[in-house]
Amino acid sequence: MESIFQVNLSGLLKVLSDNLYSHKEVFIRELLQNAVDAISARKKEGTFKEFIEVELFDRGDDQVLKVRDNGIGLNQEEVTEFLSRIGSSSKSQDALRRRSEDYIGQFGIGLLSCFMVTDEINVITKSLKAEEVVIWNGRVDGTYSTEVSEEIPQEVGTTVTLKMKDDLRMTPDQLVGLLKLYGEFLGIPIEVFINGERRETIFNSFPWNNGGPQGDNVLNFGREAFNEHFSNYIPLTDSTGKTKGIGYIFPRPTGVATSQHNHVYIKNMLIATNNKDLLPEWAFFVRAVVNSSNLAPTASREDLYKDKAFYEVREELGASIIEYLIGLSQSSPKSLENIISIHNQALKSTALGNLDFFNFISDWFIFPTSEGPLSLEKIKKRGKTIAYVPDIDDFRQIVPIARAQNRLIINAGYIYDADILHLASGQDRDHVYQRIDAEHFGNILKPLDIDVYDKAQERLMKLQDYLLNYDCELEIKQFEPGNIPAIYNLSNKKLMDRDVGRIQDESNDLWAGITGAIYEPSASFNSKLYLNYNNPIVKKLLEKAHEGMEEALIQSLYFNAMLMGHYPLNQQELEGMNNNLIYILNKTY
Amino acid sequence: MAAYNNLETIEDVQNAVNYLAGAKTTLDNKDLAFKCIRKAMFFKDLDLEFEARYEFLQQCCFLNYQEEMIAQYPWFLKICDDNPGRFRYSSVLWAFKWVLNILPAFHNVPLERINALLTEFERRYREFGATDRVIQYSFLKVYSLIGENEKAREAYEAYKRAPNKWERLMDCSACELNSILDIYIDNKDYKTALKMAQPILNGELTCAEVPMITYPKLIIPAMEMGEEELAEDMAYKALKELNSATEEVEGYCQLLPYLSVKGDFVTARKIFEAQFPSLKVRKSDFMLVYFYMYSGIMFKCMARKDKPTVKLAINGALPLEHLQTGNEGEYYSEKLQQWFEEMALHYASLLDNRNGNNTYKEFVEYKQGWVEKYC
Repeated sequence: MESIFQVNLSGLLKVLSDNLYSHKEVFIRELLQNAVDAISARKKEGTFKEFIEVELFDRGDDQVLKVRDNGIGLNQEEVTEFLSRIGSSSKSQDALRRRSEDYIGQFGIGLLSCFMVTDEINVITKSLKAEEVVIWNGRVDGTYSTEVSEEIPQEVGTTVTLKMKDDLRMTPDQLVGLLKLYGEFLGIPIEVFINGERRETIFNSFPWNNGGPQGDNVLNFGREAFNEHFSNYIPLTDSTGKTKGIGYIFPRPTGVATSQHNHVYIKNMLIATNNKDLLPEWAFFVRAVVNSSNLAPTASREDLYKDKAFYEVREELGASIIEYLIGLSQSSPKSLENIISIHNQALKSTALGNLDFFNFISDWFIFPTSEGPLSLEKIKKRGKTIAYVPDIDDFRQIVPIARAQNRLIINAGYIYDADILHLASGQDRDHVYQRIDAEHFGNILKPLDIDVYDKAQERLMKLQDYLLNYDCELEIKQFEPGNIPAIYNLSNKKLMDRDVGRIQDESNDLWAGITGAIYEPSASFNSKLYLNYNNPIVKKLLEKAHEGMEEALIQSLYFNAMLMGHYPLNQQELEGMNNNLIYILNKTY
Repeated sequence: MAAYNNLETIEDVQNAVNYLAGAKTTLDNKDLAFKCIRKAMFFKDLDLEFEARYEFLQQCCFLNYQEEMIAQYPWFLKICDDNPGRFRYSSVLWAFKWVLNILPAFHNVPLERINALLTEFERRYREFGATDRVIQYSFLKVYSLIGENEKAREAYEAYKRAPNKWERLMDCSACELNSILDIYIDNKDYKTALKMAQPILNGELTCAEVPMITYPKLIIPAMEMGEEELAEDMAYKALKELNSATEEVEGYCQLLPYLSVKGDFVTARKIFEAQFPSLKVRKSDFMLVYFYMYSGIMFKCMARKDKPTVKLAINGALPLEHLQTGNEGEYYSEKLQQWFEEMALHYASLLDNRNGNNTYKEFVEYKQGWVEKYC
């Protein structure tokens, strides 16, 4: 048996109001949109002086909102088609599709949004192509009535009247605010009347119109839109010229997790003030205002439909940003320097995904170094070898040594930095990029003379015994400053081995066997202590035995080096440290 | 500036894990993920440890750090078994496919263990509600890797018979088709392979990895079918899609024969030099067979195309000193060819001995013979 769905209209309206639209105020946008569409349609038939009038007035105890346009109007058939059917026949779908090519409105459900603020919608309309006036009353309970009259005096156009729900009354300022928000740039003057008196005309144009964007005008526009004091902006456009706008460079540092809050207009009507993805992800340091005639809104018209055009526009707007920065390097290098210093992180992220951009900008990037923040350009001038440490904890340990040796070391432990320097190593043939991990310390820790080293070996072996409980290997190097007796290093590979070992122990035979077959643990100690032969304590310990004291001393050097490297002491190490101090105290007193 | 390496508080670790969830796979991110594991353990936050470990697992998987990935995996099964319903078990089961797909590539994992793992895999997947569409699809890949052609064929038939409806643990359609192509390529049914690949080649089916990993494998089939222009187009697109990714050893190696028979030794050598360092940290025999075999083909073409010597920037990373000409960094192409062919056959024999067949040896010999036609 074939049946059709029974639709409970009042329920459907509730669904629309609760779920389709994020807030009730969008009904103003839907009313304006209908008015704009009607005016656009009439323009096709000939020239006329268009207007939209919005009036808020009190009628007895009620507050009434009236929106009037002198657009093409609707005849009786069209009223039935567009106002009285939700979903519809293939004929009406075609009609809607035809309409969508020219107008902003696409879904024919915009008027229903008014039921969020009223229980009854009154429409009086006269079509350009008909003599009769059609009066349509739609009610939230799903009923409606249509009346046709040739007697009522009415000019061509449409008037929509809503009696506002008591709890949703608006103040005049709220109404003006909403009209400005949605309709300021429609290109059609919106006349506002309050209780019969003309309040103001809302009409404005985008700053990029009228001969292109101009300085303060654009910055003021951005300040009002985003409540931020910007000092740089980027003209944005896609290849078709159908999407245009301005990108404002955020005046403060932003993080990768920062959401975009772009303002998007479709055919001059505001769609979103919180769009999060019109610009590429990496452009999180830019806030954009764009107006587009080639992007499509979603059903609620509160965001953009993610079709092919969307992704093309998004990529092209991203290219606009890159082009601007490249141009700035020639026209105003200082400005670029300033932008890069603020948005170092965002630009590094961009550069990693775009080699041309990387080659252009990498020298400008700022890196924290052992001598403070420096640009890569300045770092390159310091010598052929560029040394960087990809871990902040390791950097902390190395930095005093680097300073004492007058070596410049980059702290590449921050996000993207190690990746940027790695990429630079493949591009820059004039320098050697040395990634220093604390397991090897590059050439920062110098080897001893072979005779001195061999002489110290016996003592080293003895001292090594005192650290076996801590699974720590001893090594002798020499480095400045001499007041650092030792550097501690925890091997990442060894840590991983321990982790895998633990997992293996807790696994069943099948998995333990598989891990055993494929995973090869390293044969090294858990950690390494690099003794500094230039340090007097170390030298003394290595020169001769200090019976009764050397265990406490070498272990103290071990704990001290761990703490210097910001490594936490475990229970065994804490106890060891305390026992050693007590032992030394007992020996002394 | 965000310092994700500065993990002082539990919030720092959470932020870092969140960052990793959307981050690229890089060695630094892999290290960061491991650091997050340790910190989460330090804070005794099992949920955070789970997320950190999962990020680490993914980094290892997509960077081809296969041993580390496999070694981590049992932790997930145990933690889910010990705490039913607490963790994302479906994600854990999803990762089981990663393990299953690469385990046969290691010759020192005995067949019994692989078979036991297949049983474990099937049990867990069936309990979760997976059908033959998912299970047999994974089986056929494993059987293909161990040269069990008859079982692979049976698994493929069972896969085809299973209802084709979406289910949670199913690969995406693009990946699925990409894998099925291997069956036809392995059987040298290049015509069917190319025909079946159409949805991928014309852009109907794509994902994060497809067509990037599909183009390279179809180049030789296209050449064999006389589709020169298609082969050229795919080689170009593959180079573009692979975008210097050092973790894509397999895809890059598959490009070497085409580039070599076309005489583009500059690009071929560049690929060789970029990819071989990554093999130092991976010991999947399958990967080594690929690398040595296709490199051998490259050197064979050089030797035959009047390039008796070649300069290589390998800085002593491979034991090839005895093949040098006397000029620093310069090697004899023919000797390189022989050495690489021997290495390919050596690793092929390790896999074949484990599998009890000659699949890999025949595969290597076929490729070595194939190139004779073109240079």
